[in-house]
Amino acid sequence: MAKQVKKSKQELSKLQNLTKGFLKENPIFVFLLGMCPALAVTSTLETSFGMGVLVIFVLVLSNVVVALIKDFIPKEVKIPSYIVIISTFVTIVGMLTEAYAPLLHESLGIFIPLIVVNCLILGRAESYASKNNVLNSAIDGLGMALGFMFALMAIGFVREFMATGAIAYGVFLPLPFEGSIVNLETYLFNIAVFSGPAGGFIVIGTLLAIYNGFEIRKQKKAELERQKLIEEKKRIALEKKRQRELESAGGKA
Amino acid sequence: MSWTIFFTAIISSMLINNVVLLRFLGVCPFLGVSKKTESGLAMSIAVMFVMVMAALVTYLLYYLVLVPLNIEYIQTIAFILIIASFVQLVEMFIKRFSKKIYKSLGIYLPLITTNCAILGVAVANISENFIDYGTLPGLALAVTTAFGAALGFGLIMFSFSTIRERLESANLPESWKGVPVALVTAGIMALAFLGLAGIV
Amino acid sequence: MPAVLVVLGVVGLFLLSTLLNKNTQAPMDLKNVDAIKCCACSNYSCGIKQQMEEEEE
Repeated sequence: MAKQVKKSKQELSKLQNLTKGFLKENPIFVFLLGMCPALAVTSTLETSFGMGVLVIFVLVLSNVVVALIKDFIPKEVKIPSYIVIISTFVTIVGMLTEAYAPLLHESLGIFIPLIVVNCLILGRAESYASKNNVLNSAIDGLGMALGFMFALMAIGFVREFMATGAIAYGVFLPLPFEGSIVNLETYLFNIAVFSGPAGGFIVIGTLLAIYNGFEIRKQKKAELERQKLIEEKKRIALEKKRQRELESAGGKA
Repeated sequence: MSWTIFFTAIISSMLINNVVLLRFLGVCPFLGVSKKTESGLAMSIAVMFVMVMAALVTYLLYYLVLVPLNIEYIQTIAFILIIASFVQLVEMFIKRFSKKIYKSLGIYLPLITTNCAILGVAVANISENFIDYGTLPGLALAVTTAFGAALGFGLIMFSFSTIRERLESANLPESWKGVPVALVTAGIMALAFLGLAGIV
Repeated sequence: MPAVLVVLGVVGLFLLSTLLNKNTQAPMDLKNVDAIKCCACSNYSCGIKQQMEEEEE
């Protein structure tokens, strides 16, 4: 019985482990990790999707390997061994991209090798994979990377839409909707700045402010509810006290 | 080849292709920079030193070791490890020879390994094919480019630390405080830097 | 094969430099900022800023 309870608790935590990266612990909006690729490769939806896929591969694989060999690494050489593991996977992923998606490789450019110094990957290896088992590390890596990809795609969506008035005007990926679903044909009202560097900063800043706004509102709501609860408890206690007083007075009489 | 090409390289990598604002390298230290101007300057001096030396070392490694052996594909692993060991060596030398420098730069040095501007500039130097000018002029050009990039980084760190001082006292909505407004400010600065594109 | 050798060489270089650095006496005590821990820190104006302020106090 006790075992079953424990197991179900663990499974719940696995699901939470997977989903926490989306909003609650989103690497970009909460931790501000990996801002460089978030700014540089999100000028279109497709490049941000491509970057997200690469990060998923690297993060899951490096987390798994780090969790596998965590007992064999002496403490002194932890950092270099993480760096070697991560950069090996980055090299593999870069070569695969060059072979199977040359256009994506070209448009991501130097930001493929720079996945090595993405704080998200190094940080997860250090703070999660080096302390947990293989399965949990893999799930954590997948969840975090999915959250990263989700944030990148949100930024890419806004930027591409503002800059061109269309989404996925197909260059890199053979998507089924290729700019046909969302295309406003607004040649005169496009704001080309948004596909450039300045747009990246402004869009991320705005999205971050919106996210913060929701968080602050949630916190305020929770605070209000807690206050209400406290007042309710106070009222009940007061009533009880009054009743007791009444009873005691009645007893005396 | 004339000397002007080096001047052009410095101006181009400092202003026109500014590392932080237009190439998005080293955004994390840029966002984390304190409003104290001195610490920002100390950080950028440390970055400048390591960036120039790393450009030198990685260029030599690439063209003297990796290309002759035909193993260019391990570029990423080799570069990041070379930079990491270089940072360690620099820290050792500073520890041994200058107490004053160690005091002001010491805490930044371990952070520089994961600063993407260093690796980014080293990789970009290789992909620019400076070797077409010949080995030695190419090396000089790579080093000059790295120097210019580091100057640009320092310029942005300095100017942003002064801007941040103003931002702290600005009356902002709660949700815009901190990073969001810093990012939007950086966006406006990037717009200004776009205007410099024609000067070379 | 040369690739493995070069990687091993570079790793060796890194270990050597780390060792040398560890064995060098620091002229004074600075609170060491761990690169990875700082990296994984959630506070945007993390370690550096706070440490500078602490030092001043």
